[in-house]
Amino acid sequence: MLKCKHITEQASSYIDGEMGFMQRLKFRMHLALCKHCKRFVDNFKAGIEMVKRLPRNQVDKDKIDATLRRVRDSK
Amino acid sequence: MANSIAAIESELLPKLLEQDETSFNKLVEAYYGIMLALARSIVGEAIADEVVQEAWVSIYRALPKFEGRSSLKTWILRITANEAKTRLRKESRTISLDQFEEGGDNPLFGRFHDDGHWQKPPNSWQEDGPESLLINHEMGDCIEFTLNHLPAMQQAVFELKDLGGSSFDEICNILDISSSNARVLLHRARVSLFGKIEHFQETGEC
Repeated sequence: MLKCKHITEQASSYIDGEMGFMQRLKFRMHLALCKHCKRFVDNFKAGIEMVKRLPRNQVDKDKIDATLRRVRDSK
Repeated sequence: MANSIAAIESELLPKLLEQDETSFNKLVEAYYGIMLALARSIVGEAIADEVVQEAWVSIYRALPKFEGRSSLKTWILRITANEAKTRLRKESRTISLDQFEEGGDNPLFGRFHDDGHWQKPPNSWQEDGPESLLINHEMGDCIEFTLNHLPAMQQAVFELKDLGGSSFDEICNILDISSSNARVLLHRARVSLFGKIEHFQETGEC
Protein backbone atom coordinates (compact mmCIF):
# COMPACT_ATOMS: atom_id res chain seq x y z
CA MET A 1 0.00 0.00 0.00
CA LEU A 2 1.39 3.39 -0.97
CA LYS A 3 1.94 5.88 1.83
CA CYS A 4 1.41 9.63 1.40
CA LYS A 5 5.17 10.13 1.61
CA HIS A 6 5.64 7.81 -1.37
CA ILE A 7 3.10 9.81 -3.36
CA THR A 8 5.20 12.94 -2.94
CA GLU A 9 8.34 11.02 -3.95
CA GLN A 10 6.75 9.58 -7.07
CA ALA A 11 4.77 12.63 -8.18
CA SER A 12 7.18 13.52 -11.00
CA SER A 13 7.20 10.01 -12.36
CA TYR A 14 3.38 10.13 -12.33
CA ILE A 15 2.96 13.46 -14.08
CA ASP A 16 5.69 12.66 -16.62
CA GLY A 17 3.80 9.51 -17.61
CA GLU A 18 6.68 7.24 -16.66
CA MET A 19 4.82 4.72 -14.53
CA GLY A 20 3.93 1.21 -15.51
CA PHE A 21 0.29 0.16 -15.54
CA MET A 22 0.14 -1.29 -12.01
CA GLN A 23 2.19 1.48 -10.44
CA ARG A 24 -0.05 4.08 -12.03
CA LEU A 25 -3.19 2.26 -10.90
CA LYS A 26 -1.98 2.13 -7.28
CA PHE A 27 -1.01 5.78 -7.43
CA ARG A 28 -4.42 6.81 -8.77
CA MET A 29 -6.25 4.69 -6.22
CA HIS A 30 -4.39 6.48 -3.44
CA LEU A 31 -5.32 9.87 -4.95
CA ALA A 32 -8.96 8.82 -5.17
CA LEU A 33 -9.00 8.05 -1.45
CA CYS A 34 -6.68 10.74 -0.02
CA LYS A 35 -7.65 14.38 -0.41
CA HIS A 36 -4.31 15.62 0.95
CA CYS A 37 -2.34 13.79 -1.69
CA LYS A 38 -4.79 14.78 -4.41
CA ARG A 39 -4.21 18.36 -3.34
CA PHE A 40 -0.45 17.85 -3.26
CA VAL A 41 -0.37 16.54 -6.82
CA ASP A 42 -2.68 19.34 -8.03
CA ASN A 43 -0.49 21.97 -6.39
CA PHE A 44 2.69 20.31 -7.63
CA LYS A 45 1.40 20.47 -11.21
CA ALA A 46 0.11 24.01 -10.74
CA GLY A 47 3.60 25.11 -9.67
CA ILE A 48 5.09 23.89 -12.93
CA GLU A 49 2.28 25.54 -14.91
CA MET A 50 2.98 28.83 -13.13
CA VAL A 51 6.64 28.80 -14.15
CA LYS A 52 5.66 28.12 -17.75
CA ARG A 53 3.48 31.21 -17.74
CA LEU A 54 6.17 33.58 -16.49
CA PRO A 55 7.52 35.90 -19.15
CA ARG A 56 11.07 34.61 -19.40
CA ASN A 57 13.89 34.25 -21.86
CA GLN A 58 12.93 37.13 -24.07
CA VAL A 59 15.98 37.97 -26.11
CA ASP A 60 16.78 41.49 -27.32
CA LYS A 61 17.78 42.00 -30.90
CA ASP A 62 21.04 43.52 -29.58
CA LYS A 63 22.19 40.19 -28.24
CA ILE A 64 21.48 38.44 -31.51
CA ASP A 65 23.41 41.13 -33.42
CA ALA A 66 26.33 40.96 -30.99
CA THR A 67 26.47 37.18 -31.46
CA LEU A 68 26.47 37.42 -35.24
CA ARG A 69 29.24 40.04 -35.13
CA ARG A 70 31.28 37.83 -32.86
CA VAL A 71 30.87 34.82 -35.14
CA ARG A 72 31.78 36.92 -38.18
CA ASP A 73 34.89 38.28 -36.42
CA SER A 74 36.01 34.77 -35.51
CA LYS A 75 36.11 33.62 -39.14
CA MET B 1 6.71 23.43 -30.26
CA ALA B 2 8.36 20.18 -31.27
CA ASN B 3 6.86 20.56 -34.73
CA SER B 4 8.16 24.04 -35.27
CA ILE B 5 11.63 22.92 -34.18
CA ALA B 6 11.51 20.00 -36.61
CA ALA B 7 10.37 22.44 -39.28
CA ILE B 8 13.18 24.89 -38.52
CA GLU B 9 15.71 22.11 -38.66
CA SER B 10 14.59 20.40 -41.83
CA GLU B 11 14.27 23.73 -43.64
CA LEU B 12 17.55 25.21 -42.45
CA LEU B 13 19.85 22.25 -42.14
CA PRO B 14 20.96 21.78 -45.78
CA LYS B 15 21.84 25.48 -46.02
CA LEU B 16 23.47 25.52 -42.60
CA LEU B 17 25.83 22.77 -43.59
CA GLU B 18 27.07 25.11 -46.31
CA GLN B 19 27.41 27.88 -43.70
CA ASP B 20 24.71 30.00 -45.34
CA GLU B 21 24.56 33.25 -43.40
CA THR B 22 20.80 33.95 -43.52
CA SER B 23 20.00 30.47 -42.26
CA PHE B 24 22.57 30.82 -39.52
CA ASN B 25 20.94 34.09 -38.39
CA LYS B 26 17.57 32.35 -38.18
CA LEU B 27 19.12 29.59 -36.14
CA VAL B 28 20.60 32.06 -33.67
CA GLU B 29 17.23 33.78 -33.26
CA ALA B 30 15.45 30.47 -32.74
CA TYR B 31 17.72 29.03 -30.07
CA TYR B 32 19.37 31.95 -28.28
CA GLY B 33 16.69 32.09 -25.54
CA ILE B 34 16.85 28.46 -24.45
CA MET B 35 20.66 28.48 -24.68
CA LEU B 36 20.78 31.53 -22.45
CA ALA B 37 18.52 29.89 -19.88
CA LEU B 38 20.73 26.79 -19.87
CA ALA B 39 23.97 28.78 -19.62
CA ARG B 40 22.52 30.94 -16.86
CA SER B 41 21.59 27.89 -14.82
CA ILE B 42 25.18 26.63 -14.92
CA VAL B 43 27.35 29.78 -14.79
CA GLY B 44 24.93 32.40 -13.44
CA GLU B 45 23.48 35.56 -14.92
CA ALA B 46 26.64 37.67 -15.21
CA ILE B 47 28.53 35.69 -17.85
CA ALA B 48 25.69 33.67 -19.41
CA ASP B 49 25.52 35.82 -22.56
CA GLU B 50 29.24 35.53 -23.06
CA VAL B 51 29.05 31.76 -22.78
CA VAL B 52 26.22 31.63 -25.32
CA GLN B 53 28.15 33.80 -27.78
CA GLU B 54 31.22 31.64 -27.38
CA ALA B 55 29.06 28.57 -27.95
CA TRP B 56 27.79 30.09 -31.21
CA VAL B 57 31.34 30.55 -32.44
CA SER B 58 31.99 26.85 -31.75
CA ILE B 59 28.68 25.87 -33.35
CA TYR B 60 29.44 27.85 -36.50
CA ARG B 61 32.81 26.14 -36.86
CA ALA B 62 31.46 22.68 -36.15
CA LEU B 63 28.30 22.90 -38.29
CA PRO B 64 29.78 21.44 -41.48
CA LYS B 65 30.67 18.37 -39.41
CA PHE B 66 27.18 17.97 -37.87
CA GLU B 67 26.23 14.35 -38.42
CA GLY B 68 22.62 14.41 -37.31
CA ARG B 69 23.03 11.72 -34.68
CA SER B 70 20.88 13.87 -32.39
CA SER B 71 18.55 16.72 -33.31
CA LEU B 72 20.27 19.97 -34.13
CA LYS B 73 18.70 21.51 -31.02
CA THR B 74 20.14 18.84 -28.72
CA TRP B 75 23.54 19.17 -30.37
CA ILE B 76 23.49 22.96 -29.93
CA LEU B 77 22.43 22.71 -26.29
CA ARG B 78 25.15 20.15 -25.59
CA ILE B 79 27.79 22.50 -26.98
CA THR B 80 26.31 25.29 -24.83
CA ALA B 81 26.39 23.15 -21.67
CA ASN B 82 29.98 22.10 -22.35
CA GLU B 83 31.02 25.69 -22.97
CA ALA B 84 29.41 26.68 -19.66
CA LYS B 85 31.08 23.84 -17.73
CA THR B 86 34.49 24.65 -19.25
CA ARG B 87 34.00 28.24 -18.24
CA LEU B 88 33.19 27.23 -14.67
CA ARG B 89 36.33 25.13 -14.50
CA LYS B 90 38.46 27.97 -15.88
CA GLU B 91 37.20 30.31 -13.22
CA SER B 92 37.97 27.48 -10.82
CA ARG B 93 34.65 27.89 -9.17
CA THR B 94 34.25 24.66 -7.39
CA ILE B 95 30.58 24.08 -7.94
CA SER B 96 30.17 20.35 -8.02
CA LEU B 97 28.02 19.80 -11.07
CA ASP B 98 26.41 16.68 -9.76
CA GLN B 99 25.90 17.87 -6.26
CA PHE B 100 23.05 16.40 -4.26
CA GLU B 101 21.90 18.32 -1.27
CA GLU B 102 20.08 16.54 1.47
CA GLY B 103 18.11 17.61 4.50
CA GLY B 104 17.18 21.21 5.18
CA ASP B 105 16.52 22.16 1.58
CA ASN B 106 13.68 19.73 1.15
CA PRO B 107 10.40 21.54 1.90
CA LEU B 108 8.71 18.19 2.52
CA PHE B 109 11.13 17.35 5.30
CA GLY B 110 9.24 16.88 8.57
CA ARG B 111 5.83 16.93 6.92
CA PHE B 112 5.02 13.27 7.55
CA HIS B 113 4.33 11.05 10.56
CA ASP B 114 6.54 8.01 11.02
CA ASP B 115 3.86 5.86 9.38
CA GLY B 116 4.20 7.90 6.15
CA HIS B 117 0.90 9.81 6.45
CA TRP B 118 0.70 13.58 6.30
CA GLN B 119 1.46 15.43 9.51
CA LYS B 120 1.22 18.85 7.88
CA PRO B 121 -0.84 18.38 4.72
CA PRO B 122 -0.74 20.90 1.90
CA ASN B 123 -3.25 23.74 1.81
CA SER B 124 -5.43 24.38 -1.16
CA TRP B 125 -3.93 27.16 -3.26
CA GLN B 126 -5.04 26.68 -6.71
CA GLU B 127 -8.84 26.75 -6.88
CA ASP B 128 -8.66 29.57 -9.38
CA GLY B 129 -5.83 28.03 -11.33
CA PRO B 130 -2.21 29.02 -11.92
CA GLU B 131 -3.14 32.12 -13.90
CA SER B 132 -4.90 33.87 -11.00
CA LEU B 133 -2.11 33.02 -8.56
CA LEU B 134 0.26 34.95 -10.81
CA ILE B 135 -1.86 38.12 -10.70
CA ASN B 136 0.22 38.98 -7.67
CA HIS B 137 3.49 40.00 -9.31
CA GLU B 138 5.45 39.27 -6.18
CA MET B 139 4.52 35.63 -6.62
CA GLY B 140 6.09 35.66 -10.09
CA ASP B 141 9.20 37.38 -8.71
CA CYS B 142 9.42 34.81 -5.94
CA ILE B 143 9.23 31.92 -8.40
CA GLU B 144 11.91 33.53 -10.55
CA PHE B 145 14.10 34.01 -7.49
CA THR B 146 13.59 30.40 -6.41
CA LEU B 147 14.50 29.04 -9.83
CA ASN B 148 17.61 31.18 -10.04
CA HIS B 149 18.81 29.89 -6.69
CA LEU B 150 18.38 26.19 -7.33
CA PRO B 151 21.63 24.19 -7.52
CA ALA B 152 23.09 24.42 -11.03
CA MET B 153 22.17 21.02 -12.39
CA GLN B 154 18.66 21.06 -10.91
CA GLN B 155 18.09 24.37 -12.62
CA ALA B 156 19.51 23.11 -15.90
CA VAL B 157 17.35 19.97 -15.95
CA PHE B 158 14.23 21.96 -15.02
CA GLU B 159 14.89 24.54 -17.76
CA LEU B 160 15.41 21.85 -20.37
CA LYS B 161 12.53 19.57 -19.41
CA ASP B 162 9.74 21.76 -18.13
CA LEU B 163 10.47 24.96 -20.03
CA GLY B 164 12.42 23.80 -23.07
CA GLY B 165 10.46 20.61 -23.78
CA SER B 166 13.52 18.34 -24.10
CA SER B 167 13.07 14.62 -23.38
CA PHE B 168 15.04 12.80 -20.69
CA ASP B 169 17.18 11.12 -23.37
CA GLU B 170 18.03 14.50 -24.82
CA ILE B 171 18.79 15.96 -21.39
CA CYS B 172 21.21 13.12 -20.59
CA ASN B 173 22.96 13.80 -23.88
CA ILE B 174 23.10 17.58 -23.33
CA LEU B 175 24.29 17.54 -19.73
CA ASP B 176 26.22 14.27 -19.69
CA ILE B 177 24.33 12.83 -16.75
CA SER B 178 22.62 9.49 -16.21
CA SER B 179 18.92 9.16 -16.75
CA SER B 180 18.21 8.36 -13.09
CA ASN B 181 20.26 11.39 -12.10
CA ALA B 182 18.23 13.61 -14.45
CA ARG B 183 14.96 12.35 -12.96
CA VAL B 184 16.11 12.93 -9.37
CA LEU B 185 17.34 16.45 -10.18
CA LEU B 186 14.08 17.35 -11.91
CA HIS B 187 11.97 16.09 -9.01
CA ARG B 188 14.07 18.03 -6.49
CA ALA B 189 13.69 21.21 -8.50
CA ARG B 190 9.92 20.78 -8.71
CA VAL B 191 9.62 20.02 -4.98
CA SER B 192 11.60 23.17 -4.12
CA LEU B 193 9.32 25.17 -6.36
CA PHE B 194 6.23 23.65 -4.77
CA GLY B 195 7.60 24.42 -1.30
CA LYS B 196 8.35 28.03 -2.13
CA ILE B 197 4.97 28.71 -3.72
CA GLU B 198 3.24 27.12 -0.74
CA HIS B 199 5.33 29.24 1.62
CA PHE B 200 4.43 32.38 -0.32
CA GLN B 201 0.75 31.47 -0.29
CA GLU B 202 0.79 31.03 3.47
CA THR B 203 2.97 33.95 4.52
CA GLY B 204 2.97 36.43 1.63
CA GLU B 205 6.75 36.33 1.84
CA CYS B 206 9.29 34.73 -0.42
